[in-house]
Amino acid sequence: MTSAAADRTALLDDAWQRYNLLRMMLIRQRGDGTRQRLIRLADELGTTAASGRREDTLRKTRAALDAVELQIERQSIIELFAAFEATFRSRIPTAIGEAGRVVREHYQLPLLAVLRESLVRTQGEFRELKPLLDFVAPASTVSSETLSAIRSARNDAAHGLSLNTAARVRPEQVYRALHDLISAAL
Amino acid sequence: MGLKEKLTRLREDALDRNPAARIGRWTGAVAELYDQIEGWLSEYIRDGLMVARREKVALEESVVGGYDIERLEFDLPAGRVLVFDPVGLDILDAEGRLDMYVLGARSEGASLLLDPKPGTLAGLAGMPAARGWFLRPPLPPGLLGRIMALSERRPHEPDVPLTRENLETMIETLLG
Repeated sequence: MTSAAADRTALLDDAWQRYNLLRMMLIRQRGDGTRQRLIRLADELGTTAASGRREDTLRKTRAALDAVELQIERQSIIELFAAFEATFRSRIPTAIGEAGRVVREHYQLPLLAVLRESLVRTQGEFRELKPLLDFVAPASTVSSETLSAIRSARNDAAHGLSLNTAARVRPEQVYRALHDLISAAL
Repeated sequence: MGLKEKLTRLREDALDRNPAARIGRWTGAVAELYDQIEGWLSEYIRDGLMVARREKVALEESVVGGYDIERLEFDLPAGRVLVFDPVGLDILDAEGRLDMYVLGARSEGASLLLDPKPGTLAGLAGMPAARGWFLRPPLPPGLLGRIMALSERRPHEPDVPLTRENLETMIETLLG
């Protein structure tokens, strides 16, 4: 990857790294997952079962660790999209400004001449995620099915759909797709 | 495309437009899978090394709405629990996905994919349209391993069809 290409995906790569670091921290925290380790962890995490039974505490602690994993996944998907949006938001005003200038200076047709600058999009049109994705997508080979799936995974995560289940698209699939979009469009 | 394939495709397209039918097909496939898994592991169940338990869970997916489905768990010796957890039917690369993991180690779990979409199976790219359940191994542990796997655009190990042997091997792997 060239340094210019790496620069374009830097925000996304950082978000991806943070996801992996969080995940690794969770794995480290769990350690070897032995009963002894989990009972000690239960004291630290406050997952000791009310029943006082060791087996219940082990189960509660393991379930808590899995719930944290799911939360890391969901939040990371949101973070990856936030990095994607930030990548474009910082560049779109410049691109729109340049497109407007070119139209202002070189638009030749009498047709809609007075309104010629309105033919160029405005920054406000990219406030929502979907128009931004629709705008960027034609530059890449990411399929519309993939785009729709990763977007709905992001929305599900943001709006609390199926909080207790895994995201239907994995963070690595989101990362790959957004990486392809940025690399192709910028 | 042969006539049978075309007719099957037409029927599936019709089902795809009907959320209730999609849910029925998905929950049915999962119930059949559980029966099969319990059958494959019956020897261990009989010997008291595994105790199977199913519990109802509620899922909600934007494309089909909410529905109930079962989650399968096996109590193993030393308080370990093996979980088969349905994720949903609106999956990017298949007609449904279950996660398979040891409770407390979800992040290192495997996935079971139902009817993977053409070209999505890692290491089995030549396979045009795969039917049935496929096992997707966990991504390599560690940041570097995961990034390398991504740069190669495939998990470090290929997906494999779900067979009794592959299932048992995966359970052994997950138990560490």
